Amino acid sequence: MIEALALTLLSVSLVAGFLGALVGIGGGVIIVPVLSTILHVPIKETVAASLVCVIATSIASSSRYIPKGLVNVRLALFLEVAAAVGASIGAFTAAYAPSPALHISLGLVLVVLSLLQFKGIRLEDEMLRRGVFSEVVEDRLAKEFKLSSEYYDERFKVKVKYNVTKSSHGLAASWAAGLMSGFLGLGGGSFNVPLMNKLMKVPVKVAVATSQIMVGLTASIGASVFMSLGLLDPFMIAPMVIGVALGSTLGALVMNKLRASAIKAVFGLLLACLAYLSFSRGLALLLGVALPGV
Amino acid sequence: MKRVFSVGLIVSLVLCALSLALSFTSSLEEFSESLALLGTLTLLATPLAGLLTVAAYSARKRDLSYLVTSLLVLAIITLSLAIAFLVTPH
Repeated sequence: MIEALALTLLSVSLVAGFLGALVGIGGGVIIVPVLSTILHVPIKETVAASLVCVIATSIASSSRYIPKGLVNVRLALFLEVAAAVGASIGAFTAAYAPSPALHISLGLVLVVLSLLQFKGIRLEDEMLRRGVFSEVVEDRLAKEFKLSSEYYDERFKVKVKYNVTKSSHGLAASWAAGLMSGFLGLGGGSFNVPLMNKLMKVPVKVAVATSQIMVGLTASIGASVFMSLGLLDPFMIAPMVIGVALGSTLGALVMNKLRASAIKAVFGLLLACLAYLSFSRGLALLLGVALPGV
Repeated sequence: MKRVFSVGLIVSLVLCALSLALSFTSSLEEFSESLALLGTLTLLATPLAGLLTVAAYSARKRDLSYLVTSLLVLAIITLSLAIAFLVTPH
């Protein structure tokens, strides 16, 4: 029985890590709904285990991004101040919130994430070539905390200078991303990247790399809170950490060989299905209403 | 920071793999649980260790804004953990 559960957890997290690496996010968006709705693992334990998996993927990806100079650690820590507060509040709320509320919130967040997959990431090649990122007017906070920086773009073989703007808006949005991470066990990368790229005008490659460091820190806060409340099951963690690490490594290896738009469309559909399952499970627990397929 | 991350990840993966292998042996279940717990703790501590290296680096370089943000994040994390342990019935 224990062997079967361990192998199931290993397989689910392997697939989650693989798909997560293909679309550049952690595996939390798959792990939490699959474990809580299909395998019927209590959602609070699932959220806690998912946060530990998010840390594993974050550390693995950050180790790859740091030597390339893509991570803006100053920006990550600046935004992390707000995200950390959000993550603590989110984790405490989740620990004491009723399970149906968690299922329904997860369903709603997955719908938003599913729609984001179809929207796609803005093409910014032209902006890089024209040096638009360096023309952005730096705000006072960005100047004070030296958040603007530069990186070497390997594809275009140019050094890209970028200025950070709307830092205070970024702090507020980071707080919300942290809250969601602690509350639902998701990394928050799917929110951090568009936030930094679209709002704060950070180039997308830097946004992705910087977000990876942030999600690890944010998840470690949430996971520690869950651990102190006795909601972290070590038996679940071991196979999941191995699965997600293997899956994300495999995903990173094949990522460049697959068509990005097709991957995102399939992933978007998968998230929509998981959103339906989470939402239905929440309704079933709350009202006793059984929707078809659940 | 990269070195801290790599070491933390490798150590926790080794501990988790050992724990998973031993969990299939019923006589070593407790030992397996301890290893999994140790692996989880290592993983949880790794980002914080990375943060400490950044704080130490910024203090050495006398970079005040960098030091302030890293210490602020550390303070929030410590406070969250303290609250979590205080509200937990032991």
